Amino acid sequence: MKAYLFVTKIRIQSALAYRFNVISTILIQCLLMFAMACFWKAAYGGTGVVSGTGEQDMLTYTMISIIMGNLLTMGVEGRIEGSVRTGSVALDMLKPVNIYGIYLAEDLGDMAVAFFQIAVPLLIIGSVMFGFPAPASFVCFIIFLLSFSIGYFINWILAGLLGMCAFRVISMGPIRNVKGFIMKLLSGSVIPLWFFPDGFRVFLEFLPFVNIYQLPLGIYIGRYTFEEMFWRTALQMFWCMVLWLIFHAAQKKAAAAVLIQGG
Amino acid sequence: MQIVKYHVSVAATLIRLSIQSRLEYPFMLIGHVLANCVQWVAGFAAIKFVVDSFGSLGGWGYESLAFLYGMSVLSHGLAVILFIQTWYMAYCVVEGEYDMFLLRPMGVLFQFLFEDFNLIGITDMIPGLMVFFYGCAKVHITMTFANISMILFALIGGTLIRGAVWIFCGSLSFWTKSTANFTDMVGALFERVSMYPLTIYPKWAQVIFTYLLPLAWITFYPVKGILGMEGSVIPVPMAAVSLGVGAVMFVLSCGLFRLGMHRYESAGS
Repeated sequence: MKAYLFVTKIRIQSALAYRFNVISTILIQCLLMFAMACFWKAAYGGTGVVSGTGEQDMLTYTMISIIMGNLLTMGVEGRIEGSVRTGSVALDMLKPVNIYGIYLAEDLGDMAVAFFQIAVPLLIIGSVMFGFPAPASFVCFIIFLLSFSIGYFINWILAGLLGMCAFRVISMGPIRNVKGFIMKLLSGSVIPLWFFPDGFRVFLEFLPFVNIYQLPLGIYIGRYTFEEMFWRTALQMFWCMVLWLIFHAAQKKAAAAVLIQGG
Repeated sequence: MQIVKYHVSVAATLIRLSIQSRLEYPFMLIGHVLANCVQWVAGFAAIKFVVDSFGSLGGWGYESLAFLYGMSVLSHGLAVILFIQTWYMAYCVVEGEYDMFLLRPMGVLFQFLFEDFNLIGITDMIPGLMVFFYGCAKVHITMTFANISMILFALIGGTLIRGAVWIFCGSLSFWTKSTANFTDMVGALFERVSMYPLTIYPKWAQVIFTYLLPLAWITFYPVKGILGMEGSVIPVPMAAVSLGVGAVMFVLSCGLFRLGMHRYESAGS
């Protein structure tokens, strides 16, 4: 455990060294937040409630979604691809720790940094511009935190699975982008699925993606009843477990396919 | 005349070479076709779902939004084909990459702009054309000579504005000597201003994007003109103004590049 904590600490320290990156990320994210807020304000245009959600709830949804997006950046895909290309994956594998544990520790370190460097400033700026995005209730907030954590692991495992493809194909090219774009639409991070056509929506709600963004966010703004929350969280945990089993099986196969190049 | 001919032949050779080098990696090309199709079609689907739920966006109906979106993706694709190398200008300045160009008897900017003709940008044009023609059909635009030339003016203008902003941001590195890259920031700005109607933003933002940082001329005003959405105060068509704005911005950004070149120190090793 100590080793993983150390990796997380190193990650935090190295992220602190790049000031321009932080400032530009905050600026871009503020811009996005502002643009998305204007988008929803224009869409609502004073009409009260559309598809069961009011304007203020939608603004909260957007703000928290953008903040979550900064916490859910996954380095693992690029990390595996980079290590395979340079051959440093051999060194990673020699260490007496689980390499996926190390990758997870790195990503958790990145998240810790992003929380203070980006999430907190964004929350403050967003609150000044559009009012504080308060959760529906304290209980909702607590369940949101739990739901977000499970969503984090689902997202991480999906990224890890994609990253493992690098063991076979060496260079992944734009495939990571494809995943990003698909996730953006299907997870409800930009547009919640309740605005989608019904048949499509029902289908998407059974996929794992929706558990990463929309479920925690829906809980945050109090869209679901407790019964709904319970069933949706059960489905979320089910997906987390299934994906973990797939991940576990794939990791064994991937280790056998490692091709060490470079040196 | 001789000079023009010479420049054209050099440009043609450079373009051919970069196309050949990109074709060496066919799977990369296929991957990008997939990525860009997913990106733009998903983005457009999201807008459609919202407009279906709400009826309109900033006074724009779904049909006009489709046309606006298509125009935006097309000018984005063109700009990426022609100007992608400007994304790495800061790096070139700091690493001394311009030395090579300075040694040759030709304008540095000319060489730099034609050095990398990005075939992969064509992959943006495929979904772009799909959404564009879909939008055209939805707004029932008649392909008269006037309309086609307006669309072309708007596309050229929009492409030049995008390129100019990239060259401008990259040229700042001559002074700052930093590899700070503004591509992501500018990209986010382009997307937000050119794919959605400007009317969704507050008045002050509209003024900024019309006069100070005229990004609204990439698609918003010319599309408004082409669709005849409201009588403009100026007697010239909006698309022609857009072309003018693009040309002026491009010339200005080239000027800044030249000015910056005097401060170039070939700092690399």
